[in-house]
Amino acid sequence: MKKLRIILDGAFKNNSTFIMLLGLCPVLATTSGVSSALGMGLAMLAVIIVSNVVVSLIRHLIPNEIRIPVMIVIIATIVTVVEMLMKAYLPDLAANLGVYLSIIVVNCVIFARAESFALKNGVLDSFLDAIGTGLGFILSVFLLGFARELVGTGAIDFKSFINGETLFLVRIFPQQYAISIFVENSGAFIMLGLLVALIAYLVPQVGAWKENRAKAKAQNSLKPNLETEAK
Amino acid sequence: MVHKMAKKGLNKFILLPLFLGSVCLVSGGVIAGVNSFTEPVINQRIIDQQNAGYYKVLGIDSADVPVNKEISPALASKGVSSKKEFSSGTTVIGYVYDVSVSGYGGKILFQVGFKDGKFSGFNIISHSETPSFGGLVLPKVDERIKNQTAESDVLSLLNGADNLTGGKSVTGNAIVAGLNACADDYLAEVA
Repeated sequence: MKKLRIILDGAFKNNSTFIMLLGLCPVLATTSGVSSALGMGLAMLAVIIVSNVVVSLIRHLIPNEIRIPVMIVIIATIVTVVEMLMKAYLPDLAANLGVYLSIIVVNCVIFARAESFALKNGVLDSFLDAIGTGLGFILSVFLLGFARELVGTGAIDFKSFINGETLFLVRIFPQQYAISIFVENSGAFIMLGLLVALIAYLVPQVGAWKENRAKAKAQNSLKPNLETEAK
Repeated sequence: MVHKMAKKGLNKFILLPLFLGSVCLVSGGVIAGVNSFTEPVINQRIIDQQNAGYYKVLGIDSADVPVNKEISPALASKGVSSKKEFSSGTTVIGYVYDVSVSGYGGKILFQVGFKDGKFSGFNIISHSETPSFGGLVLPKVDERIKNQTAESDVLSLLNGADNLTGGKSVTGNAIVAGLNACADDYLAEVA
């Protein structure tokens, strides 16, 4: 249960994009479409998993005074490796992500998880934390990419990561009704703002609903005891 | 570990850089190892794209084996890495240049073809420009210069009515400089 909680916290409660508002540059830049958003999410997931595991593995060896440069070197190495592998085997995705692939190095989400979690916890927990945070990031960029592409083009065009060919294209409404600003850079800010506002509205509602449900459960469990005492 | 060694009397000013140095050494080894098997794949893809691009930029289906023409040091200094002459029998069809210029995000590799005194096509091989910024310029270059005379002002052709390179001058200037260098060389060749 505790292990599942680590994953769920990383994905939802501490969601890097919508709750903590961290690492927004690649989120804004690579979400003009679902395909590039998912590609960025997968690259980020790979980097955060390896960086958390490596940092956790050598956490007892890293001197406190130089932990930051050591982690930067580790993260930069992992990003470089992921970038080289992508350029070799997923060239179209690498071209779509462009410079944003390289700047995963300075993504504060990866650094924050390495510093605040992997340095203090075991390998398995760090791995699960990376899975949760990475999945939360994928969910965020997918949601943003989906909303932007849908409103901005009226369709969802899912492209292959390998050769960039369209795998499937679903048109939801005619292109003449699309609001093309949402696939531009400025539209990314507007859509992110809208989604953050929606989530900021929903989170307390869900919290209150959960609280009420817990109260109702507690009252229901007290009822039989009171009835027994009354008898 | 470093603290234990420090307690034994070893100087931290030596130990900490040594530790960081060894982390860098391992990282360098990992990157070199991955590079050793990804670089050939990437290079092969570039060669395949270039080979397919020669016919594409000239707008032809076949030709004799192309002749590699000598490149002057001045042309090479402007990023031109190869110049090929395509013929069919004794008739010269056109010339294709392979060019590598420095954009905003790194090297931009492209091909440009010339035929009958005109730009016959432009083909991007690879680039690392920001996709939603400088990267927006590159896919439009071909349609803007194709079938325009080699003496044309390339910057005006690229900018057109919508000022395509406006605000993206690092990418735009690199492409324009590369195209101008090739056009000048082509005009000198056919003169």
